[in-house]
Amino acid sequence: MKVAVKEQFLISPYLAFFIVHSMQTGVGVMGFQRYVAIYTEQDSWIPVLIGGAAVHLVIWMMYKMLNKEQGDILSIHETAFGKWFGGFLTLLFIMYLMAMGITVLRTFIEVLQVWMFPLLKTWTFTLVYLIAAYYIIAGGFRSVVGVCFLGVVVPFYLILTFLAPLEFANIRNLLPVFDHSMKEFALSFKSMTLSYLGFETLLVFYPFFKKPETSQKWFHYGNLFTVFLYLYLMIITLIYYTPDHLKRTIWATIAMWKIIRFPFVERFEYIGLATWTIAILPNVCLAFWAASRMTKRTFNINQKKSLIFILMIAFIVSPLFKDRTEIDLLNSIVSQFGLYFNFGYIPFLFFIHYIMSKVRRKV
Amino acid sequence: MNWFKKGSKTEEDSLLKVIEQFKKSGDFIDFQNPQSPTHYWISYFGSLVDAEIIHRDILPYLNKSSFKKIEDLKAALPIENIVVTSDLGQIQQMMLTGSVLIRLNIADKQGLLVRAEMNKAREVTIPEEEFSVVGPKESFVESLTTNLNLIRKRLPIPELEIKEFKIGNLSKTRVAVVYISGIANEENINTALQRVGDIQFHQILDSSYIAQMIQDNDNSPFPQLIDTERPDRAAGVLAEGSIVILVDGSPHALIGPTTLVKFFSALEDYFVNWQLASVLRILRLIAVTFSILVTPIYVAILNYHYELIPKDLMATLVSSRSLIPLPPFFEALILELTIELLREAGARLPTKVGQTIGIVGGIVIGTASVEAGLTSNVLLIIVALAALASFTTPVYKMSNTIRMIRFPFLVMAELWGLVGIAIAFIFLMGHLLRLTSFGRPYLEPIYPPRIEDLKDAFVRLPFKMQPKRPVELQSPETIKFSEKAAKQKKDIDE
Amino acid sequence: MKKIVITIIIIAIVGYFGRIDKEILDELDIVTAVGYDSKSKNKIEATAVVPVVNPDKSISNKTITSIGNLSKETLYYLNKKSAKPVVNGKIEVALYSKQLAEKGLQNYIDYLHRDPSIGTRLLLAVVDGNVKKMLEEPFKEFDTGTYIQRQIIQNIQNGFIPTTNVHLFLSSYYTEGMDPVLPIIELKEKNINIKGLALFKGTKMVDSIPYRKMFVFKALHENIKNAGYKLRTTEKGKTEYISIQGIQTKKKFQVQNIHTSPKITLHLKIKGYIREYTGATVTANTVIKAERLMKDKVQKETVSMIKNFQRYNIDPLAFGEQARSRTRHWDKKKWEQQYKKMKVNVVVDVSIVEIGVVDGH
Repeated sequence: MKVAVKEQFLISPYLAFFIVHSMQTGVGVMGFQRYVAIYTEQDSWIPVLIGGAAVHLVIWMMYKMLNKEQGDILSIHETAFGKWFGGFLTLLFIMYLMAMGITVLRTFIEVLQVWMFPLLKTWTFTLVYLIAAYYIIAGGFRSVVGVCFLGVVVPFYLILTFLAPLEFANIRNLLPVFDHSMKEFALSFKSMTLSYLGFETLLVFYPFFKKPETSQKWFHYGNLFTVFLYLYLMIITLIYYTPDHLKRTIWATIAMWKIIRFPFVERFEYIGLATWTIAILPNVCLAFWAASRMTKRTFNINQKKSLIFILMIAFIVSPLFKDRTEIDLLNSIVSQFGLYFNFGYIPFLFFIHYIMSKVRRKV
Repeated sequence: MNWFKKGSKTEEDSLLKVIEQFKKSGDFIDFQNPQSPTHYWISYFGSLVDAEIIHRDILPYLNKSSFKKIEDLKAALPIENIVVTSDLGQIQQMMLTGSVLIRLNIADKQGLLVRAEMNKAREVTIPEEEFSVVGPKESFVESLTTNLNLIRKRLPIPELEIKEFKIGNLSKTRVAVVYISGIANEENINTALQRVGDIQFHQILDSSYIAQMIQDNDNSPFPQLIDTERPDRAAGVLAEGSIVILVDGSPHALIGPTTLVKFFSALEDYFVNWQLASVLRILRLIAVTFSILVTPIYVAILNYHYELIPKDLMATLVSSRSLIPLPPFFEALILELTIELLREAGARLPTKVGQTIGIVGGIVIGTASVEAGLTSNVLLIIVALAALASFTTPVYKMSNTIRMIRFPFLVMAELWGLVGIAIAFIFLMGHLLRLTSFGRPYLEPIYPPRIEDLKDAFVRLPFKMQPKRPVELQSPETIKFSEKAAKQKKDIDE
Repeated sequence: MKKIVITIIIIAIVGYFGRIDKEILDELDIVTAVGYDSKSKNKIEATAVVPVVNPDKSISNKTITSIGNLSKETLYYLNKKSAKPVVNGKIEVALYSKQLAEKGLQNYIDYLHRDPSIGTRLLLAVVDGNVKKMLEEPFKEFDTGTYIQRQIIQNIQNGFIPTTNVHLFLSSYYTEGMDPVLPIIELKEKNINIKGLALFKGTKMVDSIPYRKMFVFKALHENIKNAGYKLRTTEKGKTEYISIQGIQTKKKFQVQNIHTSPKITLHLKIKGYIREYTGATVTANTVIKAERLMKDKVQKETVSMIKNFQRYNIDPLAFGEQARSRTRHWDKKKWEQQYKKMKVNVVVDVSIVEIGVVDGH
């Protein structure tokens, strides 16, 4: 079932690169190293690669389905499960998208509260940020993609700042290589894949590409770039911290900035965090855009109305999570769901869709 | 007051009635010439027509011989474009723009209209706002005809098309939309023509009226059309596929569609070496960023992030602020407002007095306020530099905008420090992403990213490397010149 | 119109409720150094140095002292005694008295790691003597905190103090197979004097190295980029001194028989040039002699130093880390037993490449 989007709202396929990369790098970048290093210590760069490869596979499956359907997740669901059950599953997906946006925003606010402003009220920041998100989403998918693009380009200079910790790096920290059991690798692979989540929004914005099939290449490149970025960060983290030190550091990336001392500025984490305010914007915008878009597609209501509704919910829900444990719980629930969705449900759906599309064609 | 309404309504009125109405104005002249063989009636607005044309080109010929029919008159006069009509609306309009009406009898319904409007315009002078050391020194003046001449002179091709409108139900201002057909995008032309044609307003005093009425977003502080006083700039962008709008009575032409980065390119960039031009452009962009962000960053760091300041700098900052009673935000706000005040006062006063204001403000107020312990000297330096940096923008309207958008940043810096600045930046980014100029993205070539256009955005690469027209303008004729001919390979010593 | 009203209301609400705690630069007491003395059994005395910028732009010191049980708590008490809020985002040095170091620095270190406003370039040092007295000592040019920091950093770059900061300290404290070291400083005739190195087992100081042996320790700990060394020789019955400058060292580890009975071979290469010689002339012979002398001396000191480490069962040179990075399934417990009896071979190679611009007489 083809989903048609008006010509003037379409975007060039190569922008897929920026969309996928900006969606994958959110708040996770600030502290993913620890969750992986708990299991595999100095070998933690390997799960980064394996995780990236697994994501490539899932992306390939998504494109296979979407290319056949020329639509989005709703049309896949309707082909695979019929109208009613398909609609129900899409509703679950919408809730997941909303939860994703809320999680990113709430976790970022937590980071701000821990590192900069202990007295910052969650709801005030949420309000301002969501207004900004609304303003951008109201500009349509083109401006959301613009934010994805600028959300990658503007904070890009931060990549260079991670060279500063190398002053105290010890390359021997990476040795010995492959010194962990398969079980440990499996566990760390699981925590690593969480950092790659976000690319599943493809299931929503696929019809917005000009010649959607050609965007697949760029989508893979974008993921590859994310893999490269995580690998870069992981290796620098591993040689800067010893594994035992890393296990005790919650936000390793931010903590690394603390070592920077330029003649004109010290303690880079404050600048880094401020820049990160811009870097998480694509996550929030695209997640809420996708949620509102799917609501529109499923229930046939005005996207502007559904967007306001969704942002209202986000504004009410986000301050309900008050402390570290609650936020951690939210994070783990959302990322577990994302994990099973991407690496369990998508392959399953791929299989069902394959069969059902054959069946329906015959009928 | 029905005389400025068009034809159909005045149909019942006779020509005489129209003349009667005109006669209520003291500058209207209507008389019969008894000395000439034919006793014709001549009427015109003395303030609109050029007396020399009447005395030299009209009266002598009329007095030479007698005429029976009005068509004979038309043949006798050595002036082109003579209209013989009985359409009251046309007669009215033409007389009000400087034509002379000649009738054979006072009660005639038909009249002969000779154009004799007075063209009093300023001499073409040196551009003041967009002055450049190198390059042409002509600038537009208030006369549309002169301005069109300045452009046509630079583009003597038949494809240069000019569509004229009369806008303003009181002012009847002539507005010309200029473009090169075949190079300018059809859609852009239609957008421009339609928007100009749709304007409903009583009076157009300047091209900025038109700019505000045809821009895409009325609530944006950013100018969405470049206004230039340089005919060479107008000709240059026409050749790239832009559309230029000229307004009679305004020495500024409007250029559209345009993008944000174009506001930071001076025409001089094309007159000097590309390396130099690139350095200057980057310098300008840094200056603009600096100008917007430096005071907010000062406020943010002093309010919240003392950790960022290196130890050596800290002593300087603390000692400069130790006696200041105001918190950083108010200190910065007051100083910024003072600078704005000085600029505004300087702009409103005659040049010579304005200079004095600058000196008084810069030296006396600045030094005195530091000595009185009202502002810190570090901030004084910062604010002065920021003001200086904002003036590097080649387009005047943009430099105003840049000074304005500093204030929301300042407020956000006061509220949430560096994070607040980032939030303000997000709003700015969102706004710029949504903004369009004649329907084309305003932030291009940054977003949508277009490598080809980046060659003439933040830097200016050599002309040889830019064989294509900007993608932004969607020109149907993308190639400026043949790349192959320009790039003939040469071996050593050949 | 409706939009404008809503915008104004939102700005007002956010502006009012969104306010956060300000830390205005000139209204803070920015601590540059903290020091801890042990007062009685459970009490510690914390001293903080705050630079005060005078209106004539000179800098003077202010110290605030308080007594409490925990380091965070004592810092909190410091606030009570100050007219401006005391903040610790700019602490450059943290000093601990020797008694405290011998009892263990666990509590203090945890605090340094936990507080996000404290930088990781913070220097730690052990003070032989009263910390409070040292911090109250005024120095010209800088405040006391900056002065101590500059002196230690200068000695890291051009002297014998091994590279140290709180990040490296934490790394070696948390990691098995590494033990931290800290410089020991003292106040001697109104000057800061570097006395030696404190060796830690975990966070407890167990032993120290005197200043004259610090060159050898630093050479074994890391590659030296620039240092000086003095040799004493006897020539024709007279005591002469040779000063070797611009010393660069390189070390290399070799670990053998990791699983059974490990044996570590340490290759140390020293390069330098003669700057000063109190004897008559510098000849080729002098150079060879100096090389041999230095080699013997370094070797002897190294061996005795490592023996000492093994006796205290501490590992400041990170032999354990060397072994770990060379072994699959490294066993910490087994290593700890092996470490005490492990054989360490030291191979020193000294080469003097230049003798200055004077030749012969």
